[in-house]
Order: sequence, then structure tokens, then C-alpha cells
Amino acid sequence: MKNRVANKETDKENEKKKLKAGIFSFTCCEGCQLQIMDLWDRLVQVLEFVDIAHFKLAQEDNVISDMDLAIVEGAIATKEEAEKLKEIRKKAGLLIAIGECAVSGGIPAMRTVNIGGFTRPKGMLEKTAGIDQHVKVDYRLRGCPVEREEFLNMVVGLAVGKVPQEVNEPVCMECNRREIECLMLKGIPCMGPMTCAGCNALCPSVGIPCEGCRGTTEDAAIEQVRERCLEVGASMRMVRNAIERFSSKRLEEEMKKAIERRNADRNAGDAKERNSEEGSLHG
Amino acid sequence: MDKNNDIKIDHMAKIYGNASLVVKIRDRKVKQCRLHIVESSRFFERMMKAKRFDEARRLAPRICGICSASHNITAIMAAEDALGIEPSSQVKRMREALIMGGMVQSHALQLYFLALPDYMGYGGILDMADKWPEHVDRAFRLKRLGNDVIQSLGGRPTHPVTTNIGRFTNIPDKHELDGLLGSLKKGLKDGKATVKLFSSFNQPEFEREKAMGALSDGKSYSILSGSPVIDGNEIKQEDFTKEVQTEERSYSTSKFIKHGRSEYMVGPLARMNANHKHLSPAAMSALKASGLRLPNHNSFNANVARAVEVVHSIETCMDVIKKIKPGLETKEKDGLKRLKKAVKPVRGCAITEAPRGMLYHEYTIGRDGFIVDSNIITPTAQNLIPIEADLRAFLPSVVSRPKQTKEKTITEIEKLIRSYDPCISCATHFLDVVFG
Repeated sequence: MKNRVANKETDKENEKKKLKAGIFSFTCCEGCQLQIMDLWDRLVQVLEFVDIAHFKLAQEDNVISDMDLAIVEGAIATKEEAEKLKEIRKKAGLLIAIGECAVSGGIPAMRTVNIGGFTRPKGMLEKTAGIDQHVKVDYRLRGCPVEREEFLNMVVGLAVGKVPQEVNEPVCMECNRREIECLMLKGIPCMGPMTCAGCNALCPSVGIPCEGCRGTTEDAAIEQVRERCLEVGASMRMVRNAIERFSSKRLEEEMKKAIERRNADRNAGDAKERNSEEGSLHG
Repeated sequence: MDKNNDIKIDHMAKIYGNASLVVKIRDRKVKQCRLHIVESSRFFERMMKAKRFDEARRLAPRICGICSASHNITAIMAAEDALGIEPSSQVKRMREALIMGGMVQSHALQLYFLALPDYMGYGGILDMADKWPEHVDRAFRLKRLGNDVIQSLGGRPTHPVTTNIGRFTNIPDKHELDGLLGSLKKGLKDGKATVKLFSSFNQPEFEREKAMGALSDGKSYSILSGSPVIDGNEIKQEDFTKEVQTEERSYSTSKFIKHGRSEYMVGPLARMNANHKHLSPAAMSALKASGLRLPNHNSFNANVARAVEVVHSIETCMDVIKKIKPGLETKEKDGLKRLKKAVKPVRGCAITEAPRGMLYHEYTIGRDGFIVDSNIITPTAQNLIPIEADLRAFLPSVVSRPKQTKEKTITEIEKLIRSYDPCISCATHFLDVVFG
């Protein structure tokens, strides 16, 4: 019943050399796990050197034991989840965050900037956030959901000792390479300029503005993107909606800074600048 | 098994999301049976507030990765209902094909990855690769087929992007559609083999009569059309929330939905009971060959119904794809005009058949185009009461079987729960309840 890996019995000597991995899920839609499921027939080939110790969606017996690799999806919303994550971190050699929820809090983290004035359910943390707020993360794989090929490349790469490289250029670069007509130039507000590439400009290639599902690049100029979107005709609230989707953390940081700046301005009595600052962030 | 026993399945494996089951058996009678939903809540309805009407189609799919296409389409249709937009018949058909692709994807996953290992006595599908390669290969082929349909029509296999208010922003070219048609044709064989496989298992004798709920329009196997019919009563879509009641339970982060005083089951078996006359030809003959008697109230048979739906979905998809005309509708339909004329916020709702049953979305949109209120009722929230009631009725017969061990009992319980294919991620998308 428990011959978990097909050829377990035949190559017992190799057992020790196998990479032991676990797949864990926290607060999310489980869409990233599904991408892994979809890869399974190809993973079976990989499984010759990977042993899965924890994958609740796919197998009966799951334990958090010492492992070489922990793959984590989902944001951390409750104390219980934070505890479990810490336990996983202790047992894992490498820990990878997959998908926007795990990387930056993703859609579940929207509650942090969006919802106030209610009693939190028992056990729920003040903020729903990415896993790096609780433990050290070794590598990150962005996207909502993650790109399959990217995932497979990363796992196979790690298994043979290759260090994964993170993409930190905007989607615009991919549009350029694929010669896709710029939507912003056509007057459609697009999150491409501030969003991490790696999707091969999927949405713009089918005529849809980038929704920002791979999170913001490190040096993203949110303020400029916002202004550009307003120029091409988006309303202030639409732009806020778009930024909030996958960059709620950045938005929150910006809001904080803006409030600080505003207070400083107020002290300086500079009313003119204050108004423009307020408008652009809370519109 | 002892006549007094407690069963606790902690964070049950092979279902979507996190749920635990607690059963207390005293004197071979079930004293308590609770499905503890322990998934944390994500406040989707709250997050929808102050978002533009077309933002819901982006946020709603993130409720659940496996039925993201259904959430996406239902959110769009609800917004269209509010804005008074009527999409073209091609758009409607393409949406239906998209949902059918989702059905194939979701059903293949549930049948082969979650349910089949129970029936075959394995811990997971990968364990079966050695002895049953034909089943494992078929599982992946079917799953990939579902993915391909969503990928072609929706732009990517999870969280579709090409679907929009009133239109699609991309229509695959003829070459891609022909390729898809070819794989669907091959998939039909796999679908039939799936029906054969699942009807070959001996299901426990467990008929428990209960109310069922499914969409019905009297002329097709309703997916996007028709009105909800619960226990024989037709309900208007806009009255759905008036007709069903929500119940909160201290041990669950999900709401429990019922109709009047009674539970009702949604999903493949409910649909099969209501609309089997309108199945596609291949699905009809597969249904006959399966020997499934209808109407059927044995929840285990949901797996057979699900397999028949795989055949139906593949064949229906083929029909739609053959008829897709190239060329986009470039004209964006302007719903904002209606909004500007409105004197107060407009409300719109839509019900579709998601893989697990009826899915309800409702949005109230203010004159400025931003959402002021929303409500989403998922299939699993409707199925929670029948699951508990089924377990309560089923358990006594299981524990009194001769030479019954606790492990065997747990397997049977899990089989029953998995036959509903509960999606806990869906069930706990909201939550306004405040725990002490």
C-alpha cells in the first residue's frame, strides 16, 4: 500500500541519495499545487531522485520530517499556520516560496490594506502576509499561479545543484522581445512596467493589460506607473485597484510613507504639496 | 470494532483545503459527527468592496484554483446581469466550453487522484504507476485535456485571462482549434473508459433520500442557463438568497446552506438526476452501459455520474469548438451607460453549474461602477449538511460490519466524503462571523 515511489523496492541502495521533498499549503486557492499536480507525469521521471514526504492533496501519509527541500504555497493568516511554517523551516534544508501568496501575501493579503473595523477571528494574525515575514526563504517563484516550466526547471535544477536565478525585470521587456504592441500606448492602463517578468508577457499577448500577478519588481517606480495610467485615462480608484491586487504590501508601505510625508508637510505648513500627495494615494 | 469508539481524521488528505472529521460512537450509535472546517478565511466579499465591476472577474477565481474558470465566468455573468449586457451567442457558447474544460480537469483530478486510490487500495495515484500504468496514463491525459481547453479559450490553465465583460479578448486560430478538436476526439475514448472503470466498482448499498438542487432549463444539460430547481421547486435566480438560509456553526469557518428546513445536495449526481435526458449521445450510451439507475440517492454514485459528465463535457466541447467563428468582437459593450441612468446602485446575480454544483455570485454596483456589496455561495457550502447527514446515516452500518477495523472504517468514511469532492478553499472564501 505504501510503495510511494514506483521503483522504491528495486533500488533501495539509491534510497539514501534521493532528495527528500515536501509540498505544503497555507492560506490560498491551491492553484499552485495544481500546477505541480499537472506536472506529475513529468515529475515521475524526476521522482527517481526525489522522494515526496508531504503532499496532502496527492497522498495519504504525510509527515513533517527532516527533508532537503520544502515547497510552500499560500500566505500565513493564523498563528497556527505560522507555527507550522516554523516547524517546516526547522526540518527543511532549503525552503522555496511558490506563488504570490507565499512570496508576498498575494490576494489574501489584500485584507491588510482593505478591511478595517471588524473583530478578527480567534487565532488570526493582524496581517495576512508572505512566508518571508515569519521564516527565512531561500528561493522564490513568483506568479499567480506559478508557471509550470519555471517550477520544473527550478526543482530539477536544485536537484542537480544549480542555483535558481530570480527574474527582476518588468514585463515590458518581454513585450519588447515578443514585439507585442504596447497597450499603454493604445490608451489601456497596464501594470506591465512595474511587474516582474517571467510569464513571457502572457496577458498582453492576448490583448489584456498585465494584472500584475507576478508582483512588483524591486525597483518598481509605482508612482510613475500610476501617473502614466492616469494619463491614459484610468481613474484614480481603478489604478489603486490594480496596484492593490498583487502589491498590497508595497501599497501599504507607500501609504505609510505618504502619511509620514504629509505629516511632515503639515508641520512645514506646505498645503499645496499635501493635496497632491493625498490625491494620488487615496483617490 | 468496539461498540464505543471515537474517530478523528485530522487535516484529511486528498481533498482541497483543510478539514478534520470528529465522530463519536457510543453503543454502535453515532452520537456526534462534525466536519470541522479549519481552513482560514480570506474575506473575499469584503475585498470586493470598492473594486470596479470588472475587477471581480480577476479576484473571484482566486477563491479556488481548481474551479477558477467557473468563478471567473460566474462573476462576469453577474456583473453583466447588473449592467444589462447581453453577450453574443458565440461568447456564451465559448464560456460554456470553457466551463466544460474545467469540468474535465476537475473531474479527472477528483476521480483519479483523489477517489481512485481508495477504491484500488493505494495511498496515492503515484503508488499505482507500476501495476496500473493504463489508469495513471489516462488520468494525466484527461487532466491535460481539460487544461488544454482552458488554456486555448481562457489563455492559461488556471485563472483564465481572456474572458471579459461581454466578450472574449482572444479567439484561438483555426490551427489551434483543430489541434484541440483532435485531442478532444481522442479524449472521448478515455472518458468512456473512465465511466467503465468507475461503474465496475462495487459501491456500498447506501440509498438515503435527500433533496437535490441543480440548474434546469428543460431543454439542455444546464451549465450556464436555466433556473435553480431545489427539491422540485423552481426558484428565480434573483430570489436564490431569499430561498436558501445560511447557518453558522461554532466548529466551522464555513457557512452551512440549506433550503427551508432541509438539506440539499448539489453536484454531478444532482445534475444527473435532473437533466440526464439531455446528455450528449456518447454520454447517454455511457450512462446506459454504466447501469446507473436514476433517480439515484446513493452519494457514492456521484463518482459514476462524474465520469459520465466527463464524456458529456468532452463531446459538448467538440460541438462548440467546431462552431467557433474566427474574428473578435472588438466593440466593447458599454454597461456604464445604464449605470449612469440608474438612480441607485444596481444589483445583478448569476448561477452556474461549477464542477461541484451550483455556484452563485451577486454584485451590487454603484453608479460610479464600483462594487458596493457582494455575495458568493459556493457548492461545497451547500453540500456540507448532506455530507454530515450522510455520514451519520452511513456509519452505523459500517461499524457493525463483521471484522471491521478502525482503518477500514476510516477508509469508508473518506470514500464517502471524497465522493462529494468537497472544496474547502471555496467554502471558506468569506466569513463575516466573529468567533468569541
